Amino acid sequence: MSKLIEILEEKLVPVASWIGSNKHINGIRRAFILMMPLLMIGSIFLMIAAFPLPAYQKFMLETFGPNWKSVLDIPVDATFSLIAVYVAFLVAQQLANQYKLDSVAAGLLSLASFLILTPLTKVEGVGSVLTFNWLGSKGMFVAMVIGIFTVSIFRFFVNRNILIKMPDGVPPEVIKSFEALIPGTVILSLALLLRITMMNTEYGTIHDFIYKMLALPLRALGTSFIGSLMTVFAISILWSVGINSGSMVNGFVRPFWLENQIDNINALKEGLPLPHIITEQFFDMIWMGGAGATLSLLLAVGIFAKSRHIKSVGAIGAVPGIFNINEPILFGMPIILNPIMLIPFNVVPLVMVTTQYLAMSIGLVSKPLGVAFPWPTPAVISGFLTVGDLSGAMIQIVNLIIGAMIYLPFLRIIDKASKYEEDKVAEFEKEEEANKELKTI
Amino acid sequence: MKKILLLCSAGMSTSIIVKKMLEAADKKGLEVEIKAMGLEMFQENLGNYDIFLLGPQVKFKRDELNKIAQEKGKRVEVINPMDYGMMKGDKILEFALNLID
Repeated sequence: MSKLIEILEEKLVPVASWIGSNKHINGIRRAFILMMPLLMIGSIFLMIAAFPLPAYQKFMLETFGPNWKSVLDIPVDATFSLIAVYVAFLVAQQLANQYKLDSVAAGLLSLASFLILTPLTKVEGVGSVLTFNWLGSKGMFVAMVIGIFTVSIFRFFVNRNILIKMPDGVPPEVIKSFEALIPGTVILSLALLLRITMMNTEYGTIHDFIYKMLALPLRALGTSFIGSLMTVFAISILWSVGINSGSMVNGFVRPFWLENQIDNINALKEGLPLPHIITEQFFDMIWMGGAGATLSLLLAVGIFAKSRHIKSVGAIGAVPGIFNINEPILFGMPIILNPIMLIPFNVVPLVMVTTQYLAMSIGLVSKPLGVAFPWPTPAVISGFLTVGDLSGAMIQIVNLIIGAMIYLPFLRIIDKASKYEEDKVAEFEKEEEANKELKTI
Repeated sequence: MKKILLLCSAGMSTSIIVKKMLEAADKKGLEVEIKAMGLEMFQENLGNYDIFLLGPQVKFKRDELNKIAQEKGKRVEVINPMDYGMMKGDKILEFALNLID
């Protein structure tokens, strides 16, 4: 068993180290982290508009009149429905930052390329308009790819020093603005070329092409039940050898989750049934107490632990645990690199995903509304807010109890061992004390 | 004054440790500066601190960061997981101070 852990550590640490230092993955990850506040603020407005409680809806309608929702839709559209625009800028900017390039120039070039590739629609009597169609979640994947390509081309020119040189004495700010000129022209020309090429295919735009060929199938896989189990397992197994894996793994899947999330938000706005079960908030409901859903373990510790060490770990970990921070328990119990505790640590989240997915697909529990909350939101509250009614809180309580029952037998093994050791130490000290007394007499 | 920087991925649990370490320093009457930041802040703060400690959850970054630190004659070490888990501020503080001397 500890041999297995050794092998795991040997194999997984290089993977983590590669992910941790891969600039492209980091660029995308950071771009999405930077967008989180925006999405949460959008969520607040959406919650005010669409909270699915009939009495509340009636009250708002009577108080503010029939148009009350359309005002709140404005900030929701400005955040969720324009997400691809933010992504196009941020991914390039964050990636350029890591390569120490002019990051704002890279971000702007990427955004301009994105807009070149997103055709305008002519509307009679209005003129040319940019519709939301490809600016929201549907355009996000292309925006990400454009961001990466823009920076790659930018780098190509900077590395080979193909830049406009300025004579001495020109202020650095001016030099900087000229540096982006050659790579920028090339990047935008390539985007235009791509646009013209796509116009001559059956797809019409790069958006339609990528969406049908790549984004849709990838997203279907990533947000399926099996995909969810794989995501959860990847996080648990990496944590098993002590690698902080949540943000790493989420970095890959978050773009797909976000598309589902925004679909649900749009359905909510229209008052339609929610199409998706799997969004990021689905997983926030699972990670109660942090990776491994250790709030369940805390529950088991609170009721059954006898050893002083385990009890004190429980006491130290309780408050951070409520806010989904569990390093004290992971390293203090310890769970990490502990062959006994790692079994439930890996199994519990898989079981919880299964029960929650089942409960949501048969309609016993409502689906996630798509609104986003900070991840330290405590369990039970987070479930209630995520689905907008008590069924979300209920499934979390049920899952907490199931988790505690799975953790319990394993906890008892290490609790017994720890208690045995403590008793022996106490006995030994007592004897010492007795011997000392004998001598003094 | 000795300056210690703790690094992890989000700076959440590390900031709890910082609090415990400062309490321990206070008890001993030591004057130290301790802060917690995300890993990406490492390079720009390389000049400002005497020692850099990693949370055990990001220990896989140690070799990479230590190489950069060594060029400036500094060190990056990983906090003992058990001390980290039990939030033993005094022990971690002692560990850090020993590394500086």
